[in-house]
Formats: sequence, structure tokens, C-alpha cells
Amino acid sequence: MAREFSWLFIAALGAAAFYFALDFEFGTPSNVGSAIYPLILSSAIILISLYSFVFSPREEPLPQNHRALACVAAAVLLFILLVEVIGLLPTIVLSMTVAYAGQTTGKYRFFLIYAGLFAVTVWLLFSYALSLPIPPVRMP
Amino acid sequence: MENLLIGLSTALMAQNLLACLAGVFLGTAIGVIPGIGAMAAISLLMPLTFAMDPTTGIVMLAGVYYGAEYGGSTASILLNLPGTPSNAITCLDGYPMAQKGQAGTALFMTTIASFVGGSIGILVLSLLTPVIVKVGMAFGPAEYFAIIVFCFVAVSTIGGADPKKNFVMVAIGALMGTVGLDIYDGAERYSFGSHHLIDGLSLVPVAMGLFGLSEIILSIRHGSEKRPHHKINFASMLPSARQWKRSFWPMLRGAASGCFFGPLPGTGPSVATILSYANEKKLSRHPEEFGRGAIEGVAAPEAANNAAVQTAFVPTLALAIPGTPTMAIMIGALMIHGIIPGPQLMSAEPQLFWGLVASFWIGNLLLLVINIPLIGLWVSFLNVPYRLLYPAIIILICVGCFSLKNSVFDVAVMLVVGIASYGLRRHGFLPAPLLIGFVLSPMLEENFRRAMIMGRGEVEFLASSPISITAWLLTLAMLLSVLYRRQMQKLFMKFITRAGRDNTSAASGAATTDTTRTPDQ
Repeated sequence: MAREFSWLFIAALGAAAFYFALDFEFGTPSNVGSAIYPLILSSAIILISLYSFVFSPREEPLPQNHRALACVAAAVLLFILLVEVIGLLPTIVLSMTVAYAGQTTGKYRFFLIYAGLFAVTVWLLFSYALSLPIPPVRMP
Repeated sequence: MENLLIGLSTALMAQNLLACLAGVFLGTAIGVIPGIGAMAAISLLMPLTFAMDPTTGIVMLAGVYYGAEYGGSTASILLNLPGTPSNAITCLDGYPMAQKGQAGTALFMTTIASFVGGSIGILVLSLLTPVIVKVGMAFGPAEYFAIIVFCFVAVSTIGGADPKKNFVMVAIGALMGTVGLDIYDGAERYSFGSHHLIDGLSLVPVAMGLFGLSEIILSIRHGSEKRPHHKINFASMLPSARQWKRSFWPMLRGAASGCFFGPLPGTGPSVATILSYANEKKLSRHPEEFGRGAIEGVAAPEAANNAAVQTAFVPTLALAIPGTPTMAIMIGALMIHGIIPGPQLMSAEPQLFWGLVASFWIGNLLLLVINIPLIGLWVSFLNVPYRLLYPAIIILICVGCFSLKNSVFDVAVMLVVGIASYGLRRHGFLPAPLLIGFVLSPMLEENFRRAMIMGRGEVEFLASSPISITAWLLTLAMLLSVLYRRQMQKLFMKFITRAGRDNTSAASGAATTDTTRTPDQ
């Protein structure tokens, strides 16, 4: 029988949580320690996952969209790495362009103008209206 | 009456009115985008409220909530793409109406039904919350513990997904809620020495990753699809006298269904809309028209949806127990603003509570006033290609997470949660139970530990009062219902398949006959 391997991954996560929880305080029945609650939860995750792995039939997952996943993840990663180094405006334009590459249609020249205008709008909104202390452009 | 006057005086303050207007407008604008539901809209716009007064901020978020719920129905009617699960039922008759050239009428009726449902829901909210608050005053840790466990089980067992998957998602969410410093013994849990994790994971990046980023990745493949263009003017929106007559009672019955299911954990607007649709089909003299553009099929579910949206606030505000993931985000938003929801809220902050209730009604009125003239704008908004929208949404998510603590750490949390959520959603795991587990986890653990202290270590103390015993019995009944799930699923699938078949045959019928107005108009 084909198995749903995602259950094994979740069981492994539960096992890791259980292992780390063993280091917390156990306390007493009248003064429950910080270990008990995570231990109960991680045990439940392990038990349900292993049961489902053995007894549940495999379901067809939704189709994978590698390009979209890679581009969206790269866009967010670029934001994380660059926003404090080169400032908000160039980071937004770069991240948006990388995210835009997640699909196959459209023209980049028009998109860059749109991304630039959007970056300025976001900067004005968050810097002026919400006082976000982040410079528009920063020299690395 | 006195309370309502207090509420009105708060809600009618200029900044609250403006916040409500902005919330309704932005919520509708975001809700119109297919796939971006109310949860993502609230998470996305929550950072904008941080600089505001708590009441103003919450009023704005409430406006975003019902604006997004309303906006979701626009995509359902015009594109057959529901913005939220509760809007899915509107597709069944709204889309055939649009195909028959009655898109304007369907959208107009949606607005009216939303207002009627919302207004009735607010009335029930104002009357029911004080009663629930009185009951809530008698709650101790054991009662809260039992009710939260019931809420977890209800969220896991109600709905179409596999209960095992839902249980695991609730447990993962609850485990994520344990990250950080333990308030009792000061132990650092799952922080791995990082000072960023000592205060635990923030709600906004978790919610944005779960519902925002993963939804974008899942939706991108539809970006290049061509969408039908609809031109709508005011004259084409007005329903005929017959359509008004046919919609009146369904609207009221839909609102009643929404008021009943809205406060129940795990059910909320989705179940209310499905059951109100099924009920109308059963009561109708023309059941054969359902799925082919029957106006009752739009009016009843939309009224049920908005009534449920309003009454879902009853357990949220009275007991701090959210029945739906959107309410879980609202509780998080209240806490971020320093407001602790629960039985004390009404007596401690009557201005906030009644101001919120009054602003709900004003928000519904604004929804009516701004959306009828703006239907054309929302329709044109739908024509903006998704490939231009999603990069901008990603940036708003990133900047929103960054603005929480001016740190990229929250953006990184959002990225990790988003990718994990994408992977899990591909395999049929729903993100909503995880969020409810995450939000309620600290409350569940605290009440469990307090109950064990009060019961001197005796587990029996957890089921020692009539309220907690009732909650445990309900939990047991829910778990037993899982055993009969197959029969219930068969019935549900039979209903959906029949409605879908009716819809398809109506669509092909509309394509082969004509696209002019029907005698209904």
C-alpha cells in the first residue's frame, strides 16, 4: 500500500520536540513543570502521525510549483538579507522582480516602473504614517 | 440602551469613523482578490493599527474583517473563485447569475443581504454577550481548560478535512505556542539560546506565513489565466420586485442560521452558509432553479455569512475563546493592543466593548453605503492581473512583519512558516487548526497548570463542576461523531456533487441559449 510520507516527517518533528522537552522541568502533580505540556503535545503528534502513516492510504498531493516556490522564497530571503544593508527602496524593487519571475508571462520593463512606484508608496506609508525607522536607500 | 449610547459616542468619534471606513474599504479591496481571505487581510493590515489607539485599531480590523468577507463574494460571483470558504456557496448561484448578465443584481443583493445579516447578527451579539459574560464569570481554570479542549476537538472534527490531520495541526500549533520563557518556572523552551525567541513566536508572522505566503505560492500558477470582463452600471444592479420578494424570507432565514452557527466553535460562517443554502433549496417552490442562478441562493448564504461573522464575536469577546481562525487573529490583535478579552472586558472597558459593537453596525452601514456605488471599482480591481498583485502582497507581508519589532527575524519566521504551510497544504493539511492551536495554547497550558495547583494534583479536579463535565461530555460526543464521519461525508459529498452538476448544466445551458435578461428582471 502506498503511504503518505508527510506523516513520517511530522512524526520526526514531534520526536524532536519530545526529545528537547525532556530537558525541561517535570515538577510534581500539584505543581506541574514546564516539560509536561510539550511532552503531551509531542507524544500526541508522534502517535497520530505513526498511526496515520501505517493505516491511512496515500492521497495525491496538489501539483508542485517549483518555480513559484523558489522565486517567492528567494524574494523574501532577499528582503531579509538586504533591507538593513541597502535600504527599503532598492530591496523592494529587487524582491518584487524576483517574485515576479515566479510566473511566465508579462514584461519586465513595465514591471520595474510599477515596482519602483510601489516601493516609494510603501516607504511613504510605513516611514511617514507609521514611523518605521528604516532609510529609503543605504550605502553598503 | 445606556450601553448602546456609550458605544455610539465612542464609535462616532471622528478617528473611529475614519478607521472603520478605511478598514471596510481596504478589507473589501483585499477580499476581492481571489484566494486572499479575511485572515490574510487582517494579518496584512494589522501592523497599520499598531500606531493607533486600541479602540480605533480594533474598529479598523473589524471593518477589514467584514469588508474582506463581503469582497470575497465579488470574486465568487464574477469569477467563480471564492475568496473565502464561506463564499464558496455563493458561487453556486452567483456565478450562473453573472453568466446570465445579472452580475450587477447578484452583487447588489449580496450587499443588501450582508447588511441585513450583519445587522441581525449585531443585535444577537448585543443581547447574547452579556448573558455569556455572566456565565463566564463562574469559569475557573478547570472550566476554561475543558472548554478549550472542546474547542480544539470541535475545530478538528467539524469540516471536510481528515480529523487526524486537523488534530496534528492543532497540536503543532499548540507546541509552537510553547516557544519562549515559561511563566511559572522561568525555563526557556525551544528557544535554542536565541534572544529573539525568548518572548515566543509572534502571531503576525505565523498568520502571514500560514495564510498569506503559502496561498500566494499555491495561487501563482493561475496568474496567467484570462478573466471575463463585466461591465456593471447602477441600472443593471437593481433587482426586480419579484427578486426582492423572493429574497426577503431567505435573507431572514439565512441570518437566523448565521446567528445560530456563528458562535459555535468549529462551525462559523462556512457551515452556516452551506446549511442555509440547503435549507432554502428544500423550502423553495422552484428547487430546480438552484444552481442555475436563483437569487435566493445568493441572498440566504450571504446573510448567513455576515450574521455568523458578527455572532462569532460572542465567544471571542465574552470568553476569549475564538471559534474560528479569524477570531483567533482578532484575539491576538486585541492582546497586541494590550486588551485582554474575556468576561472582565465588558465591565472593565465598557467604552471599548460597546464602542466595538456600535462600530460593527456603523461598519455594516458603511459597507452598504460605499459598496453599492463602488461595485464598478471592485469589478475593475478584479481585472488587475494576479502577476502584478502578488509581488506587491509579498512586499506588504515582509514590511508588515519587519515593522513589528524592526527586525528581520520575524520576516524569517514568516518565510519558514510559509514554506512549511505550503508543503502541508499540498498534502491536505489545513492551516486554520494550527493557528487556533497556536493562539489558545498559552491559555490552555496556564489553565491546566492552575487547575492542577487548585486540585492539589488530582486530575479529577479537571471535571469537577457541571460546566466542565458538560464540556467534557460534548468533547466525547464530538470524538464519537468522528466514528460516524464516513456516513456524514457521503451525505455532504452527495449535496456538493448535485449542486455542482446543476451548476455545470446551468452554465452550459446559459452558453447555448442567450445571455440576455431573464423574466425575473
